[in-house]
Amino acid sequence: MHAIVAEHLRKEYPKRSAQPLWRRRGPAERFTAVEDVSFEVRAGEVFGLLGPNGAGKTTTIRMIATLLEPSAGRALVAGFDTVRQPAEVRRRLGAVLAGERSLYWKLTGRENLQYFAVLYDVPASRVRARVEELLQRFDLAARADELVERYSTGMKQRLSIARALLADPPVLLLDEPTLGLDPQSARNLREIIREIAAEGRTVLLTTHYMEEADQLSDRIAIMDKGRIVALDTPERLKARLDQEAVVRLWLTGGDGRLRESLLAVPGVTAVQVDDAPAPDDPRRVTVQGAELRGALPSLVAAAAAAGARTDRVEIDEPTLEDVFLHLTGRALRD
Amino acid sequence: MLRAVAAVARRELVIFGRYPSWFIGTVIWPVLFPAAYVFSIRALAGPAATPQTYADALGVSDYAGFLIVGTTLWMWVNITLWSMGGALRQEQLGGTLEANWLTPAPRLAVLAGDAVANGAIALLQMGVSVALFVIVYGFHVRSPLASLAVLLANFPWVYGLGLLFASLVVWAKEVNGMVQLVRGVFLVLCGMTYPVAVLPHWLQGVSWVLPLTHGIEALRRTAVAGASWGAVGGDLAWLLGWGAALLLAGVAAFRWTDRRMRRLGSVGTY
Repeated sequence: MHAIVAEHLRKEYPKRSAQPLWRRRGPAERFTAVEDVSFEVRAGEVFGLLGPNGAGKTTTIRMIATLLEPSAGRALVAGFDTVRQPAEVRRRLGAVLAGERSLYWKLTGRENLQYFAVLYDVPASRVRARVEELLQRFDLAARADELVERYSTGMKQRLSIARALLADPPVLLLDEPTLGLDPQSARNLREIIREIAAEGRTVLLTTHYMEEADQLSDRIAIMDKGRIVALDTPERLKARLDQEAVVRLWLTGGDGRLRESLLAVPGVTAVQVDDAPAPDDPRRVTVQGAELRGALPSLVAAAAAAGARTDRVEIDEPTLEDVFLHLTGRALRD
Repeated sequence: MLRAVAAVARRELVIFGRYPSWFIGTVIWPVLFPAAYVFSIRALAGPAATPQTYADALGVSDYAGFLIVGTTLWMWVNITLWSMGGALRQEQLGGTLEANWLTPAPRLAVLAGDAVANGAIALLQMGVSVALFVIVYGFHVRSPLASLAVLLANFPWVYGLGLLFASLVVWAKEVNGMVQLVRGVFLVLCGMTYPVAVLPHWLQGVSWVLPLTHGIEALRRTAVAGASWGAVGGDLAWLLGWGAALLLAGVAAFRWTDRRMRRLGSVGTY
């Protein structure tokens, strides 16, 4: 049996009107956040939903978490329907969806876990030991009796994950788990997620950090504008692009014609122009297309025609960000 | 379910104790609020007032007892509307509602736990008020058992109304306007500081429909005038009827709100 199944999930909302009540006319307009999303997550798999903000990742994970009812389609967790059997689903799920905001800041770390242990129906005789075990595991024991308001963001996030594991659930949902963390805390948290996955739990995570999805996921569904545009292992997704399909140029200067100028080079299918780190620094430009090695002189000339000096050229290994650019014509961070 | 209700109530009481200003306010306000009306009524009665003066105007000579019953019950309803009305909304704004909703615990347990914590705080406030009136104004409860019965008969409708409010506030996303409306109606119509008989005749009809009017009247008759609970049977029946209706309406409103939040995805939005 699959740990998670999403079948043709669709979610639409009424658009919120800025008009006062007495000026609204007719039914509210609707927008579709998720459209025909289907995937299956095998037991023990780490499955990533990767996409830019607004791609529909969070809406999808909230439907699976029973917080949202799909407008169409259905989702199953351990074989239980999220709409018809939500309590059964929640017994098998741990979830970290709102990060640090989901904790009671005026309670201590220990009190938070003890409170949620009751709500997760951990037997009364087991609560104390289970809480202590999780505090030790997530390196929170030394400050377990301090109010959560004094914790760092990384500590709050670790406490949120500890809470999600209170009932020892087979399935864990993580929505943007490293958002807002400093690089070191983010690295630590990724290590924790790897350990959780190594215990045989199924992990569904959403992220817009392609390195995170690449490092953690067995398989990735790339989402854009509410739909899944590709689903495969990170290696196979990247193998969709030829090894010579990605060229990175480091350019200084250049005007507004740069992107169009590069797109006009024969064989070029997509161009992504990054911002320069500082005004006089070179900026990275990613060019995708077919047989680009032969087109390098043309690319340099096209850049020059737009007023840019080429400082460096690399034919690079494709990344998931390149895959996203290839599939959608837009950068993941847009 | 009961374990979850107890956990939520305990959580609320622990958090309540960690805000010193809330705690102090809870103890000070029940002392100050009725006292203001005591001095008003003394001023209106004039220096020559006798117990008969008060008995003629209020129906009982113990004007302090008359006032403490009205103000305490009104304050209880008022605080319940604010705190329970704001309970789900505060959780929604703070981001913790979603964390509670993700557990397998019945969602109604969260609100029921809030109600239990609120009830405990309300009892503390009533205790403070009554203690003050006993010490300062010589008030004493004449029929304690009957008074307790009347007080308990008020619980279902007060917390049914709180539950209804909590659900509607999550829908309306705003607590002030709704609380002001309901507490204002109760303030004017339920005889908090004056007998209902002074209202215009047509307003008296409306007043006697409201449960708080019966709650105040029955408690005055037992606690202040010393009536037995047989004498207030009609009021008790009225209070319990309202209690059943408001609890059912509260549960229905909560289920409607819960369903709406799942359809619109507003559990974690504000």
